[in-house]
Amino acid sequence: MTDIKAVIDTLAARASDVVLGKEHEIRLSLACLLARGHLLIEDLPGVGKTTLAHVLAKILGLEYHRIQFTSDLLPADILGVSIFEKERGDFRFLPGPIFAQLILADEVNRATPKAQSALLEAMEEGQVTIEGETRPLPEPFFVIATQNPTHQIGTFPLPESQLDRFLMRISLGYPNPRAERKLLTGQDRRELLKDLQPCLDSAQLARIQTAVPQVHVADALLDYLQALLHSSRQSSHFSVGLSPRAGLSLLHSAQAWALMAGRDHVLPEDVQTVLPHVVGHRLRGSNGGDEDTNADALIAKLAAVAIP
Amino acid sequence: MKHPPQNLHQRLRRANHPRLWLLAGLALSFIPHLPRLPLLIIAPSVALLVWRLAHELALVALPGRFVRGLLTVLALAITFTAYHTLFGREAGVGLLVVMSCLKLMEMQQPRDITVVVGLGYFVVATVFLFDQSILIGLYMMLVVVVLTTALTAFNRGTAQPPRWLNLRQAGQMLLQAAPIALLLFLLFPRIPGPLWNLPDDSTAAGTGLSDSMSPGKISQLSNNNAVAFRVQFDTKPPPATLRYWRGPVFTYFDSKTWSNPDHQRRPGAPYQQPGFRAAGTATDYTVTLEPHQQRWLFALDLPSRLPLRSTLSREFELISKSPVYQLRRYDMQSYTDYQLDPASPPDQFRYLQLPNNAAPRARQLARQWRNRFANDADIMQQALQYFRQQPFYYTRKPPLMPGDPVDEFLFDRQRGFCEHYASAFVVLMRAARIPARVVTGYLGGETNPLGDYFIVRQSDAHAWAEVWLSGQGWVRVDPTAVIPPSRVEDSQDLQRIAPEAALTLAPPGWATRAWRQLGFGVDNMNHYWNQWIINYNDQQQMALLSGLFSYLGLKNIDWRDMVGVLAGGVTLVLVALALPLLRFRRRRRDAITAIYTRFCRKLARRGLSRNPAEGPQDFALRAILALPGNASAIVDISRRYQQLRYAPRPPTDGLRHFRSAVRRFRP
Repeated sequence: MTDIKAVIDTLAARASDVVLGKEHEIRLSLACLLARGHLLIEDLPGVGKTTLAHVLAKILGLEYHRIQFTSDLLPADILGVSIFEKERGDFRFLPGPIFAQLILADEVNRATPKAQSALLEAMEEGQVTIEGETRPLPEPFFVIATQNPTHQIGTFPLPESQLDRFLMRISLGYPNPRAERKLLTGQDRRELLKDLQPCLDSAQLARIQTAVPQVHVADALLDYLQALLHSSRQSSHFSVGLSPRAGLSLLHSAQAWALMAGRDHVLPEDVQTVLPHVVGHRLRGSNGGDEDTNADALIAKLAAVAIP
Repeated sequence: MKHPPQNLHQRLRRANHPRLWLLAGLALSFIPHLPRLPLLIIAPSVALLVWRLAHELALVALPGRFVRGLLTVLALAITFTAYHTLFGREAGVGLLVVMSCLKLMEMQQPRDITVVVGLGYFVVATVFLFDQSILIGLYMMLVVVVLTTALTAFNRGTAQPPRWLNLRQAGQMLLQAAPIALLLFLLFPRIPGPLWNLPDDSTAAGTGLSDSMSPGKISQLSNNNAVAFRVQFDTKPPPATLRYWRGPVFTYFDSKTWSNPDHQRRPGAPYQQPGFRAAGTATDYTVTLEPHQQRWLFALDLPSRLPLRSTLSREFELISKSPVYQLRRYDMQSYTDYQLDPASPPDQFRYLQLPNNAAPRARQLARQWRNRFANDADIMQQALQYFRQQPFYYTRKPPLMPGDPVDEFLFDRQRGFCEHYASAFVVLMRAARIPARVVTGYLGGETNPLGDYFIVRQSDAHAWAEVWLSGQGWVRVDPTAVIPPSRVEDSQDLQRIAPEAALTLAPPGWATRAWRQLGFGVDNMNHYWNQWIINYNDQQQMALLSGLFSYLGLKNIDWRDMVGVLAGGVTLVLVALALPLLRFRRRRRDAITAIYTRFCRKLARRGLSRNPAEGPQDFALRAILALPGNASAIVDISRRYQQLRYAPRPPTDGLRHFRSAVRRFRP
């Protein structure tokens, strides 16, 4: 446990060298990936979403591809195509960028729903089917998607069912003044990225990932988790309650968070820490209203549920 | 579409279970009505029930709109044919039964189903219009459980519950409702008298004594073991020979039938009450009268008190203001030692009336006696002597007497039941110019040794005579009592009219005794059921509540207090029922939580109260910041709590250490 904590701390420190002042977000991202979940980063352009994704790919030592989502992106641009080769007189499959361990799906909500669904199906199944042939995706397989706030021009908001496939949604926000000063005076981020060395190989990563579900969850904690789910379903503030999948996501994220803290058991605080990021994109208020402020208010309602 | 071949069992398994419950409940609710319903109603109802059942088993389709309309008209016609009306108790129930079954033909929507369940409950309620015995009560409760199960099952929707869950929940709900029902029963303000007047049902045959007496009318009651009334004596019961229960009195004879013109009159302006001189001590008792659809109330000869809502006729009959359709309970007082109207000579016209052509031979005999004796009492004795000496037999199966019944009985057959004796005796007396009348009622009654009360049955029905003798007034004469025991055919009658002689008979076998004992047990139960449940009326309610209130030191209660007590009681019951449900939500607080709560309380006294949504680690952090002096203790306690509550393998004596750490904690 403690060696895992040391490894994670190193990872977080390395990433913080590049993405300044965002250690909590970095740790959340790591927790998400350790819990084998896909991550959605939502924020304004230019706050470092892409950089964060790059950093994570680099330090985890994963083979990664970046797909820039645009409104004219087609499924074949993601999945790959078969082309006819004259010499061989046969079709050859050219794998698309989806065949990598870590996919950076940049500005995912700029693409049409058709292209989005090609990615999202791959996320869910862990495999893609192209021209009648099913091809497995590499192991591990992560998607880090970034998206712009949905009220911006030229966006196709992801439907709720697809949002549900992301384990966590985080946003970065502006850096604090000290970090910003460092950013302005420091080296170019691209240079730093280039020099960044992986701190983990895939075997180590797999070992940590298998440790996550083994983190102990006491009955008392499950009571709390169920109280949260129950509250979201009973309360009149929510139009839809949290699904069982949301409950599982919450549990796995909390386990990953506890593991990263070097503990062999989950505490209510772990759940509370990951709660806003796990449920934020899954809750809908009953009164409509502005989405962001609404989500914060809803999360506050859930966070106020008493710990049994 | 091809259906796989199915046997009945498979079809039953596939059928909609809530609807099967409902059909069962409805059918069960009809069963108590069956003996009362004509075949004309039963047959179509059963057919419709079977139709619906077959539909549930996917064997037949339901009728269309047109056929349903036709069936409705047909059902109305059938009911009208069967009862010649659509109103009243009997016809109403018939209509209700057949229409409930008809409703099954269009039961599709949840709304229809609710209506049918409601109809089922209503049928259950109508059963009590006819029978309020304890057995019917228990049976109807069962039917209500079945109907409620159907209702529960419907409201569960499509989900398939575990077996018997609906039944269990229905039972649970009814049990929860029971205390409220009990409170409503005890405390709901009751209106004096019956709540509504049942319409006079011509089809309802009353059992018991009727308003006329002709040969064979009482003897046909002699095999009827139904209870007429029960009596509980407050004072010492009179000896068996004096237990004459006075009922209707007859004054008018038409050569076959005895009747009383007064009975046709509406009750209201009573005649001037006859003079009545009592001697000896009064006998106090309470009569619980079974409904007999007539107006008479029965009392020991001779009543000295008038029950509520009743009048006294000039022949000293107790007449209720309305027919006894429901069990009726009244307190009575009688004097068995009395003189009735000794001073004023009675109405000659009324008590000497005889039809001209009736009983010529009896008149002849009476005229002989009149010429022989000057004294009325001697003539009376002579008549009794005649019965004693001639070979008169007392029998339950008197022969038919198609000619003049009095003459044939007196001179040819000489076999008869009490009504023959009473009738012939009064005719003889009247022919001898002695005022006389026939009194019917009951004689005797058996003690229930288990319940300390008397049971008077229909088989105890009796008729006797009253003769007016100057100086003595109306004197009771029972001509059957002079028949020697050897000439009484039935041992039961002997028991009744000559108890001393009956003692010489062989004692009954053990089986008979056990059977009778069982009968007494059942009757005892029914007696208390009647006394406390059926006949719980406004007066008993008041008595109960005044007892309760005086216990609380209050006096003078009225219906407002009653409603208050009722509302309070129902609220209490509801709260008592709701509390466990609310507590179920709250976590049971185990030892660990209790100790941690103690720790939190200690910190709260220092102004650090834990937010219910605050985890132990966060709270500990906040506490350390506020109370740096206690940092190590707070960390230690919080760590122990986390270990015990959230960690996989808590240390073996962790709880003990945790407890002592919290005890030692002094913030």
